[in-house]
Amino acid sequence: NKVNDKSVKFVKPAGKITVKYGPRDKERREELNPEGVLSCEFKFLPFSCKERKTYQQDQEEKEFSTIIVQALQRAVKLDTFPKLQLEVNIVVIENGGNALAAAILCASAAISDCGIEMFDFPVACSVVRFGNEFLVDPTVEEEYVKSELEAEVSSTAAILIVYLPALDEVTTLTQKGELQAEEVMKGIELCREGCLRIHQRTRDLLTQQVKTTS
Amino acid sequence: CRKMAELDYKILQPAQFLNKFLDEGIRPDERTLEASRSLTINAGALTTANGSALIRLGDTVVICGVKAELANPHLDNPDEGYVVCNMEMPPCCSPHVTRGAPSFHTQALSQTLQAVVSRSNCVNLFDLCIVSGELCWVLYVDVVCLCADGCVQDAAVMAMSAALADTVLPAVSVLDGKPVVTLQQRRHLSIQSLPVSITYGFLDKHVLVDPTAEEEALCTGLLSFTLLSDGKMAGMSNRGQPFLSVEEILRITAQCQGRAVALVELLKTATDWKK
Repeated sequence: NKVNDKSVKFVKPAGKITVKYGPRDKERREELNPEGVLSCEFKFLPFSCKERKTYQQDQEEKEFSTIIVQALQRAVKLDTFPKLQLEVNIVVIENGGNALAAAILCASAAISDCGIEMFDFPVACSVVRFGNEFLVDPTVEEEYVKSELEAEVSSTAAILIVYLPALDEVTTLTQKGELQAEEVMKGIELCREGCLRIHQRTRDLLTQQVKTTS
Repeated sequence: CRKMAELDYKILQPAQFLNKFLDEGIRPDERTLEASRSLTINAGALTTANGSALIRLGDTVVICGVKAELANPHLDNPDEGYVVCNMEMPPCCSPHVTRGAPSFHTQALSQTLQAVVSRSNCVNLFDLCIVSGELCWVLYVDVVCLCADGCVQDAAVMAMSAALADTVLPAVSVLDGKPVVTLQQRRHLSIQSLPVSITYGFLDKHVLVDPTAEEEALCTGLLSFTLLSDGKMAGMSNRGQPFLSVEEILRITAQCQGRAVALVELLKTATDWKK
């Protein structure tokens, strides 16, 4: 991408995200940090979801922004750019489901594309309990379904983890909805397997890209 | 070593660097002064919007999505629906754009897009009315620039045209005072003409067609024309000081008609639009 410092267009089935960032001066004049600062803004474009979104960030988008910062902070070597801010801007063009996980993957790819040093490549995976089954990497229909059965108390529950495979660390863990303790444990395991698969695939793709561009 | 010297010259004296090319009748990206960049139109790619289009003009990338919602018609136009246009330039489009409220330039672009729709007959607003005085369609046209490399207005207007031509609305009927939407029955939006925009940059005595962001920054002024597919003009504006005489303006006005015809043909093919 010619104009930006570095940007990555990330295409999932029916979900496209673009990320851009670049080290620049910090906006607020706080006391100088010995380390760099990571900030993130996550936004759904107005036409990206079933219901139109406004231009201001709503609470969900603000929550996602905080989660992404938290997820990436551990992996990025912030001491390599002291006093500077790394601005990650994520824009969702079309939401096909699991937008947060895709956003984190996209941000990781963009940061590594920029040449900023990282300890590991953060990967995110999410799992949804749909009826009696666990579905990895849910689509929009699977994420936001409402229970049609009034007799049973069944709700869609979701777990998301952000995992650093090389360090065997989970940087972020969220759960929403009702789940039994065993289901939570099973969900986390499924997420981890998903993360490992994604990590392997991303490594292959990035190596391939480095080989073709150099 | 020569590449480094070239780069230094470009950074230290950008205007002179560009002029050296223009005096030879060519531009740094090997185009002639009258040539425009390659244009790609991709309509209907988004499933979440009623209509959409992605435009690539060289490295400038703009996406437009049209979302239709039900609303009450405005009091002074009870038989019409309405269209709300907005331009957005998120920080990912350019290193010069920061987070926060949209810049004046972006807001001016929003106004330009709105004027094209409201003050020309390209969208049949009567067609958007469902029940006079009670129920109508409102179309939210959101144009987002994903990469700004010059002529954002051109790409934005074309994206809006293509997205509107691509827009499909479900059938709506009213039962017991409540609207009933039948998603399976769909029809295309009634568009009467497709607007296009053409921008010229002016630097000293040179006229540049379709300038890149670097060229725009060095130009003393820009002149933009908005034309409709039936040949009528729907807007003209300048930014900066083009330093043009009236004869030059008339000459360029005549010249842009030809280019507009070519752009409209491309739009028609891309969106399969028939009047």
